Amino acid sequence: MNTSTFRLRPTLAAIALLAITCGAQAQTTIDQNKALAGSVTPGDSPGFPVTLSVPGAYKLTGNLVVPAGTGGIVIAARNVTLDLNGFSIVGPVVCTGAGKALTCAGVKQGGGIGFYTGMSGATIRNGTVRGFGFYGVAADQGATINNVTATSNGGYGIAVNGGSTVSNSMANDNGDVGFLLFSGGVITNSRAHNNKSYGIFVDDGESQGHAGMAGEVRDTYASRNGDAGFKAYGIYPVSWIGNTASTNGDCFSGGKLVRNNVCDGVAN
Amino acid sequence: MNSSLTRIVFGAIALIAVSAGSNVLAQATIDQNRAVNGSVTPGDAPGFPITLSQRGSYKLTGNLVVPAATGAILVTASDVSIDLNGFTITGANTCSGYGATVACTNTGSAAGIEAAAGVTDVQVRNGTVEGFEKAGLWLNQRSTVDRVKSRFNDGYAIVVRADSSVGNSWVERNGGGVYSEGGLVFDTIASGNRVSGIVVSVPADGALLRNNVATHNGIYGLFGSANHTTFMDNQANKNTNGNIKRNPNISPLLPGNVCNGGAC
Repeated sequence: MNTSTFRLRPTLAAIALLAITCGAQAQTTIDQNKALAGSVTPGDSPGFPVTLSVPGAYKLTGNLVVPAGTGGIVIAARNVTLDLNGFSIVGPVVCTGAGKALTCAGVKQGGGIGFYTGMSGATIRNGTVRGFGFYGVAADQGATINNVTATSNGGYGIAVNGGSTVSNSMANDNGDVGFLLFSGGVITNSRAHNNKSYGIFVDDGESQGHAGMAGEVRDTYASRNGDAGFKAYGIYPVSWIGNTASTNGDCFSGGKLVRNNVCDGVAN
Repeated sequence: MNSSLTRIVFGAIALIAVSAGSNVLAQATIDQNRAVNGSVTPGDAPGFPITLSQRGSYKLTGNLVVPAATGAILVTASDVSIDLNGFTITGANTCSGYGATVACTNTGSAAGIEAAAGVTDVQVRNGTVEGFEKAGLWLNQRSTVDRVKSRFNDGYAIVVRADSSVGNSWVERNGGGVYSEGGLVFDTIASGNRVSGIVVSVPADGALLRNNVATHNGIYGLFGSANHTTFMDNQANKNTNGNIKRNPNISPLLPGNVCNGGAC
């Protein structure tokens, strides 16, 4: 992991310089043909993943169909806004089964939307990420995820780093946790169904040397996940507000039940 | 276990670039002319219903006016997103009356937007669907309905199956309002429907109804017949047979619900 990070530094320094030189860019569209052709941004090789190395706005204008074992899009700049525009990024992995018995067939690597360390402030919205071996969507600190569905991925559905916000989104039938808030953040109005592990997992990050941050999950519904619907881990406070857990491996594990939470029909 | 996994996710993520096969569908726009001409997607015959046979994103660029006894859009592929873009889909069915007295002309058995059997993960947002017999929207599992107004349908305005979300919508003067088999229903207004305003029914096992308003519906305002239906911060007023009907043993009525201006 550290080796990869160091290897990226010269590239990212060049990207940062380029961004400063070029200034603002118009919204860039992405479709399958552009992905295959490469050069969506400087340094983007032909094929997948599509590398977004310049801050700015990007919009899908078609589905992306991604081969096994690779990723769909990687965010390699700060403050990237990616509008999936109702389209899907689709890998070949298929997950079947219920709760803890869920299994995923396919190559166990590649993420639908990933990032390079430090590429904070991403906004990802309005679409579906399905069928990746590793995870559906991952974003670094200060990310905003809205109206995104992550389904049938071999690992996490949607994972975000410190201080991020996830809203109006769904994670279902993934091979690990549905939503992961790492180092705090907020989830609202979202759904986690039939993920193999926890529906929502909030880790304060403290145990891994990150700045510990509080988390909050509200008005969210978790059902039929293999482990707890709502799980908090760490020493920083995690608040559960107005959530409903139904027929998961457990309801709420850790964190503070602030108000209006329901576990299998019983108010908590 | 959890620590090691989170460490993996939040390290630098190296991804290998390889080329991929092509299966391209650009965003399709839909208007009356395109509907009449057909071929919006492969297999779409001229006229209605428009068949959406490929996953992807579709956007209305004009109103659709649909002849009697047919639907407007038939979705035959999963992962379809339909942006009504502020436009209206109008069928031939008309309804008069309000609440228990709603009566419709009922000339057929079609839905405005219907997902075929087995088709899931359909999203519909930002517009109006009115004047159909079976339903305004008839969708399956893991559907999302957002900012949709649906009225004058003889059946329910919005039907969704398990793990779906209906939000920020308005259903008025239909046979019924919202019928869900589980998931979220929030920030939605159901008024003057012939039967109930918002229903969560079996086989659902769990749902969250939050911050909805149900008034003057002919049977119940909010009706949870399924296990584990949570009622939170809703308002229900002047519904004929009861404002909130639930199974009291397994569906909690949380503080914040208001019925006829007082406690429920």
